[in-house]
Amino acid sequence: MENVALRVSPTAPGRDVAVSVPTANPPGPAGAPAEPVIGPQAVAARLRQARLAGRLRAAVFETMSILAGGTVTQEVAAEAARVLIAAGQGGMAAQLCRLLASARPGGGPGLETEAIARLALLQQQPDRLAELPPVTGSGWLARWQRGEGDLCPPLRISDLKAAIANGPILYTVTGACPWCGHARAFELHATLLVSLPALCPACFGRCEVTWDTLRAFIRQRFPALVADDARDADHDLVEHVRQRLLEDPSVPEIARALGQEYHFLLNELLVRRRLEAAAGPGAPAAVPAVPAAGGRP
Amino acid sequence: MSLLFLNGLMPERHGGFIRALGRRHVLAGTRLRPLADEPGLQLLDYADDRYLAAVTPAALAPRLDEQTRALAASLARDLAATQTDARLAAAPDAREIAALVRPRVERLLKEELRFRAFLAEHPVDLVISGSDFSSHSRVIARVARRLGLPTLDIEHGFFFSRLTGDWCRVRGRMPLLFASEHVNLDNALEQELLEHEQALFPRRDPGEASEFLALGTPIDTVATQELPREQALARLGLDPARPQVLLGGSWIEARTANMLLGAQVDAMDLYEDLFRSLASRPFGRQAQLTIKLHPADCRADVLPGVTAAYEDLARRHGLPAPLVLGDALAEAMSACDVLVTPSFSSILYDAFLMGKPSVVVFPRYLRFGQGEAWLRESTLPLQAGVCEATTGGEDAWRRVEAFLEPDRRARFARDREAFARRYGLGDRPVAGKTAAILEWIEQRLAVTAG
Repeated sequence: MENVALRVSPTAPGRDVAVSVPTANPPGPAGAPAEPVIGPQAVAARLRQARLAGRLRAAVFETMSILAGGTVTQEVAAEAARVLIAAGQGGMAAQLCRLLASARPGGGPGLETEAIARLALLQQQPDRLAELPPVTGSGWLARWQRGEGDLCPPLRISDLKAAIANGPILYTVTGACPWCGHARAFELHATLLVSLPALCPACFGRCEVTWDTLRAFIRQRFPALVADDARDADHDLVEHVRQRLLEDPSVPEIARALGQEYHFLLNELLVRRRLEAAAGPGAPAAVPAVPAAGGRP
Repeated sequence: MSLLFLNGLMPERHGGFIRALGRRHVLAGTRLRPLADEPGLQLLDYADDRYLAAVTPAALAPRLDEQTRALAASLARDLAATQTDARLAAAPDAREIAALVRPRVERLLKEELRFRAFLAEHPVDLVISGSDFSSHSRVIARVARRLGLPTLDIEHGFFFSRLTGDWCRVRGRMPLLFASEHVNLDNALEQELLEHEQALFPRRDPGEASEFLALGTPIDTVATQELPREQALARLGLDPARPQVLLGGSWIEARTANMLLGAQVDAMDLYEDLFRSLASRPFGRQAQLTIKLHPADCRADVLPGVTAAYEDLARRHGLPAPLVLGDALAEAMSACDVLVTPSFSSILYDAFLMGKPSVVVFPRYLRFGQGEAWLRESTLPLQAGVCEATTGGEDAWRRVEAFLEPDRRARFARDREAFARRYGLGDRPVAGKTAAILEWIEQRLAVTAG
């Protein structure tokens, strides 16, 4: 970013300035249709949507593409700054905020207090939070201002999905930010023995996906899948499939061609059905509430 | 020169072996693209459009619907026979068939069509597969064998901890369903184990059985890269004055409902137990713990979270943070005094080759519901005492500490030597194993030509 000559347009917020949005694709062949030009409001909306959906990697990539274009409106720059803050990219976000501040008549980047506060913490400048106006309520910044530190409570897990295949699993953990309730999803590959801190893309508060809260959630939401009965049922299925594949002349050739993958396919069907049945409508979220004081700073 | 088709063999794993083949024969294969521009190799391009062009909707259509129906019917039968819950026992519905069943059939048929298109132009003399019991190479191996082509399977792992004797029959265990006529293994131990397993689970069609060879698995082991202990310790920044314990990370290959979540929970319980019990012992303050993650956990988007979890476990129990490694297995194995793994792991063989004792800690889900005898008898290394097994953290650390005692260590060394001698186990050079396989291939090709 240091090498990009970036000018933030000092236009009034919301004024439409056509901005050509470069994409990651190389130029097409001659005669190919031109890249569509979309307005800055649509660009900002797109960044915001990606950020709030938790697609931070994609949002950062698009942000960098946009900023490489050289000129952006204040609205786009502000949204880009939010993306970078949510993604923990404090250095780049700070540069962008300085540019924003220089372009705005009243100074300051025009971001919400929580975003500015998180940026200061990302920059290892906690003293700057003292300059911010006091906030009320029970959000993370209010608790910081009350001297409780930068708390990091667990994500309020509401759902767990799994894609089973021939090898490592892909888990999708869905939950709510313990500070603002914003819903988001995390993808976990192969293992749930993780401790993953994250910033809420909405309120910029810290939270964690931890192995012990995942364990508690699984035990509460999917007790049938962690009981010995589940293991015994699996073993019974293997016995049946083994006998069929090795001894049963009526087994179709396609099943024998699959071999062990036939067993995996049966399990994938069963796993999907079990997870769907366990999720059910209105299933309660088995998550710990944000502690009155505590959590991990 | 003969034409050898390499089915699923990967240059990054079997590069030396493939190149040795390529210096003598024409090669084609499913994963040889990285070698396309390598001088000295004669490669036919299996990715050529004309073989792919054979895979047309018109070519697929006659069998795709029929095979999908057959597979769905078979699944329906097995679900009805094994599930008591009506929701689970139901036949696959249209959504499930479209999402899960039909794509599987389509993939198999496409592989077969493409391979047959290649065969129509190029008479193949031998099909060499990589681990043909798995889906990525099974189809071609089966088709080749059905067409009367010679087939050879080259494994890329070691079967040191394969179940032995009647333990092969333990409820819930699926034998390996090899596809090739000949299956090459590393040593006499593996040959004995897999021949016995095949005898316990005979194929309905004897023509589907495999002959096991023990020419040697042509890949490097970790032992090949062993370093002097002091050098390994220095590279990892470990204290040579402290006993070194290497803990292998688990990888849950979740193919069953139980493994999906139950196994994950059990793994968390296991590691929590290990850390808690280590912290309760004076040994916990003396030992230096290194954790080597399974490669599946070393992806860039997985590694930080997993590392943080182990650090969190250590912190919660007042232990210093372990050294968590995504790579450097050779250094970690060279440096360690004892290896601890959650269930049977491929690195148990590396530990054996390097003269390191090992303790296997079994979480609940991987004991097949078995009792104490499982922990002493289920594998030949356990029976021979060159590996020990347990189920809990306290006992695991007790055994680890015992292995650090001179008398116990000396007994381990004697047992290890006797076991190695009996089965011809040792870290043989890859070049020798490759030469042995090449010689077998030449003889087999000569038989075919004759």
